[in-house]
Amino acid sequence: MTMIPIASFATNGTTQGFTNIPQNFVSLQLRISYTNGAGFQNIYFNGDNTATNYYSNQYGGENSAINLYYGNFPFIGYTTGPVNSYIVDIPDYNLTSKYKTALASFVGDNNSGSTSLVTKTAVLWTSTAAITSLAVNFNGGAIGATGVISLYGWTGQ
Amino acid sequence: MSVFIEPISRVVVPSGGSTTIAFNNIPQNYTDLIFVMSARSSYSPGTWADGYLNFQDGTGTTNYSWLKGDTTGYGTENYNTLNTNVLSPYSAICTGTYNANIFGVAIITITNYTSSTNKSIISEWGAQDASQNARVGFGAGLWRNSAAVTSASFGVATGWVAGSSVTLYGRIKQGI
Repeated sequence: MTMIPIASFATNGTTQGFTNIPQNFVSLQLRISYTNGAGFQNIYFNGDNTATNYYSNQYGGENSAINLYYGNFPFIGYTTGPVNSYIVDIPDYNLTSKYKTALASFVGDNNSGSTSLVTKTAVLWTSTAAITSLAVNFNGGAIGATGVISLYGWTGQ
Repeated sequence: MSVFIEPISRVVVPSGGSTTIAFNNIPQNYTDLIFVMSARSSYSPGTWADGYLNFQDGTGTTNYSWLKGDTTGYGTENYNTLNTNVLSPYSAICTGTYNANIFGVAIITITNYTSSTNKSIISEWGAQDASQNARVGFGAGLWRNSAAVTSASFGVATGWVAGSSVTLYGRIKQGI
C-alpha cells in the first residue's frame, strides 16, 4: 500500500502546518490547491525559517522559459485565478545521511486567457535532520475559501 | 482506503557504491511505472552528469531518443539525441565540489509500459547545490520497442554513491 494520507487542511488561514510527521515512509508528497497567492509564499521544515538555509532554482515561468534563484523555499500564485496548484515531492525525507532535496511543480492561470505560470523547482534544505514538521507560510496571501493542503506519505514496500 | 499506486521494489546502494541500479522481473499488471530517485554520481571532479536509463535490450541497440530542458541556475539549456543506445532523461549531481550530503531527485514515469507499441518516458528532476548552481527541468523519451518493459537499469558516469536510492511504483489498472 502506498501514498497514504497523513493530514489535510481546508482552513482559510495564512499559515498551515503539519507536525509529528510519521517517519515510516520513504517519501513525502505535499499537495496545495489555493486561490489567493498574493506575494511570495514559502515552505520551511522543522521550524527552520532561516532563508539562508534554503537554496532553490526554478525552471519555467510566466509564458516563457526563465530561471530564477531564491534564497529560500518559495512558491507563488495568482490572486485572481480560479486556482493555483503546487505539488512537492521529498524523497528520503527521514534519512539523516542526506541534506533534503525537494522537487516541486507549480501550475497557475490568472483566468485572463493569456497568462499562465508553469514551473519546476528544486530546493535544497541544508540539514541532515529528518523532517518532522512542515509549515506553509502564505505571507499575506491565504489558501482561500476553496483551497486545501494535503500531506501524503509514500511507502517503500 | 483506496489504493492506486503500489510499491514494487526499492534499491538502496550499499557501502562502496554501484555501477548501476537495476530492476528485473518487473510485474506486468500495472498501467504505468514510476521511479522515484534520490541519488548522486561518484564521478569526480565533475559537477553534473547525464543519468542514463536502459530497458532489457541494454545498450546494444539504437532504439532510444530523448530530449530535455533545464536550468543551471545561470541560464537554460536544451538537449536532444535521436536513435542512440541509452535514454538520458535527467541530470545527476556528482561528487565533484558539492557537499557530500546533497543528492538529486528524479521522478521518471513510463506510461503503458506493457503495450505492444513504442514506450513514452516522462521525467522531471532537480538537484540544487548550496549556492546558485542547480539542475532542474523536464525530459521526454521514447523507446522504440514493442516489447513490454520487464527490466530497467539506471547508470551514470563512474556509478552511484552509497545511500543513493530508487523506489519503483506501479499504478494499478483497477481495484479502487
